[in-house]
Amino acid sequence: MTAQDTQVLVATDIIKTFGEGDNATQVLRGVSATIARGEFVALVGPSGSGKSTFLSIVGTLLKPSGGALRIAGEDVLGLHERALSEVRNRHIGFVFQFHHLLEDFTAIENVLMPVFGAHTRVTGGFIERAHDLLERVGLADRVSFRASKLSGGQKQRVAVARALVMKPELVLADEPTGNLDRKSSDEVLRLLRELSRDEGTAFFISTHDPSIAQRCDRILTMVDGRLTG
Amino acid sequence: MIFELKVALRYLVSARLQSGLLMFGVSVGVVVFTFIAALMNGLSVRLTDDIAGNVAHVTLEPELRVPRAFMASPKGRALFAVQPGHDVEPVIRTYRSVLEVALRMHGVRVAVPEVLGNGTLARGEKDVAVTVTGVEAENADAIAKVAKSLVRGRLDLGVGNVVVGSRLAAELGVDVGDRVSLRASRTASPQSASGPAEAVMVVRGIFTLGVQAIDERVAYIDLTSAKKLFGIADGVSIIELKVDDVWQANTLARRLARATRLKASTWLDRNARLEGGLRAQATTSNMIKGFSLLTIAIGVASALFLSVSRRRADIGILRSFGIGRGAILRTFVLQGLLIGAFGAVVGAGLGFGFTHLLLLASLTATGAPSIPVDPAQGEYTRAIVLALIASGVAAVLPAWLASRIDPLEAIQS
Ligand SMILES: Nc1ncnc2c1ncn2[C@@H]1O[C@H](COP(=O)(O)OP(=O)(O)OP(=O)(O)O)[C@@H](O)[C@H]1O
Ligand SMILES: [Mg+2]
Repeated sequence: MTAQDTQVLVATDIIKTFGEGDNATQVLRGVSATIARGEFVALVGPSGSGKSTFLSIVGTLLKPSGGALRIAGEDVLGLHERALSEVRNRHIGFVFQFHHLLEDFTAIENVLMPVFGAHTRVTGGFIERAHDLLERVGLADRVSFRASKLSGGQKQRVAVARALVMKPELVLADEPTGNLDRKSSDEVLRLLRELSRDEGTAFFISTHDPSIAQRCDRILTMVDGRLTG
Repeated sequence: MIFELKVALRYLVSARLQSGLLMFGVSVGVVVFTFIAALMNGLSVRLTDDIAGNVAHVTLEPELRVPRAFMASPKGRALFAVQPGHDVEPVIRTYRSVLEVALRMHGVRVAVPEVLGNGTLARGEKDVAVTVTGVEAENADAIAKVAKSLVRGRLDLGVGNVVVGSRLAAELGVDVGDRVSLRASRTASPQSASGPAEAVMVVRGIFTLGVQAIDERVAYIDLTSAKKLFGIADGVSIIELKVDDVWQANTLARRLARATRLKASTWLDRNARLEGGLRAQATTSNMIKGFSLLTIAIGVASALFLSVSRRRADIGILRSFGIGRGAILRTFVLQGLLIGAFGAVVGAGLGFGFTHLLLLASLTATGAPSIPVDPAQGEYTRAIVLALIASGVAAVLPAWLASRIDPLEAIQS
C-alpha cells in the first residue's frame, strides 16, 4: 500500500469564494488537509470560520473555487453530477445537524435508502447489515418505527447507521451533536468512535463542543478560512 | 423503479388527506368528461335518429328530361326551346335492375321502389290535396317508421286500403274504416285520356310521425294501385334507400348515381343545418372535455409543486447520499401518474354510475328518457387515458424542479 492509498481524503489548497466582484467574499483561503483510513478527526473553529463550507466541498456537495480534492484516491474535481453522485454513494457517508431522516419512512427504511443509489433493489445482505447497524446504535427495538416517532437522539443514531450502510471510507458529520443534550451527544460520539474502530471508517466531525473534540484522534482548527496548528 | 414507486406511494399515503382530495378532484374532472361525452353523443344520436330515422337516406330519381321543341333562329339555325314542367312525370323503368345494383352495394340496408303522385282525397263535400305514396305492402314501414307511429288502426296496405296522417284525417274528418275517394290530379301517362283516374278506398290506419308535412299531406297506398291510379304502365317514380351509416350517405349516393345513372340526393342535402349543428355541438363538447382535462392538469401540478417544496429537505438528503436526479424526477412524475390513474378509474366508475342514474331519473312514462344521455357512449377508456396523460404531463414540471434542487441548499435551509 502506498501512502496515497491509505488517505481517504486529500484536500490541497482549497479556495472558496462566494459572490462576484465587490461582493466577493473568500470563505476558504487555501485549506489543505489529509485524513487517513480509519482516522477520527475533529474540525473546530469559531462560527463563520468556514467549517461547514469545507465539509460541503469535501462531500462534493459544493464546488471549490480552486485547489485539488481526492476522495479515496479519486480526483473528484471536474467530475459530472452523475459521477459525483456515485462517489458520494460509494465513498462518503453524511450525518447532518438538522434534517436527519425522511420522516415518512421507518428507521430501517431510512437506513436502507442509500442502497438505492447503487442498486435497483435491496438484497438480503443489506437488510442484514441494516439490522446489525441499528442494533449497534441501540435501536434494535425501534427498527420498524416511523422516523417521526423517534426522539432527536434516536433519529441521529439512525442517521449514523444510514451513513454507514454502504461501508463508506469517510463519514462527514457537521455538528452531529449540535442539537442534542449532553447525555445523547456523549452517547452518539461513543457510537461513532466504536463504529469507526470496528469498520475502519474515517470520521471528519465539525463541532463547537470542546469535550467532543478532546476525544478525537486529531483536531483541526479553522480560523477565518485557514487551518491553524 | 422500486425505489421511485416506494417513495411515491409513501408520500401519497402519508399525505392521505391531500392525496385523497386531489384524486377526488381528478375523479370529478373525469366525471365531467364522461358525462359530457355521454350526453353529447346521446344527443347527437337522438337528433340524427329523429331526423334520419323517418326519411330516406338516399333518394334515386330519374334526371328530369326537359322537352325540347325546335324553333327557327333568325340566323337560320335550329334552337331548342326548353319548357320545364310540361313533361310527363319521369319514371324509372329499369327499377328492378337498379334495385339489384343498390342492394348489392355495401352499406345499403333497404331499397324501396315508390310511385309518387299528387291527388285529392275526398269524403263527402270535403276534399284535401294529398301526396300519394305507393309502396309495396312489405316495404310500407321501411323508410318512415309508420307502423310505430300509428295512432289508430293498422298499417294494412292491401288493395283498396289507404293509410293517412293524423292531421289529414282530422281535416277530412275520417276515422279507421271510413270510405274515401282518391283522385289523381294528373296522370303520368298522356295516353290515359279518359281523365283523372279515381278509386274508392278504405282508411285502415292513421299515424302521427311528428313531421307536419307528412302528417297532413301523405297518403300511403299499395304500389300496384298507385301505378294504376297514375297510369304508369311500367316503372316507379323514385327509389328510396336506407343505409347502415347515415354519415356515409353522400359517398354512397355518388357511387349509386354513377352505377345507375339516376339522380341521387341524400337526407344531408335536405338537412344541411343538422350537420353544422352537430359539428358545433361536437366542438362545444370537445372544449368542455378539454377544460376538464386542463383542470385535472392544473390540480395535479399545483399539488405536486406543494409536495416538492414540502419535501425539499428529503430530496436534499436523498441526493446527498447519491440518489440521482433521474430517480427524483421519476418519483414525482410517478406520484402524478398514480394520482391520475386512481382518480381517473374512480372517476370513470362514478361517471358510469352517474349517467345511468340520470338516465333512470329522466325516464318518462313512455319509456323514453327526457335527457338524451347515453351511458354506453361515455368514452370511459378515452377519459382514463387522457386524464392519465394530463396528470403525467402536469407532473413533469414540478418533478423537474425537484430533480434540480441543490442538495446543499436544501439541507442547510
Ligand atoms: N452560499 C453562501 N453564499 C455566501 N456566503 C456564504 C454561503 N455559505 C456560507 N457563506 C459564508 O461563509 C462563511 C462561512 O460559513 P460556514 O457555514 O462555512 O461557517 P461555519 O464555520 O460552519 O460556522 P458555524 O460554526 O456557525 O456553523 C460565513 O461567513 C457565511 O456567511
Ligand atoms: Mg457550520
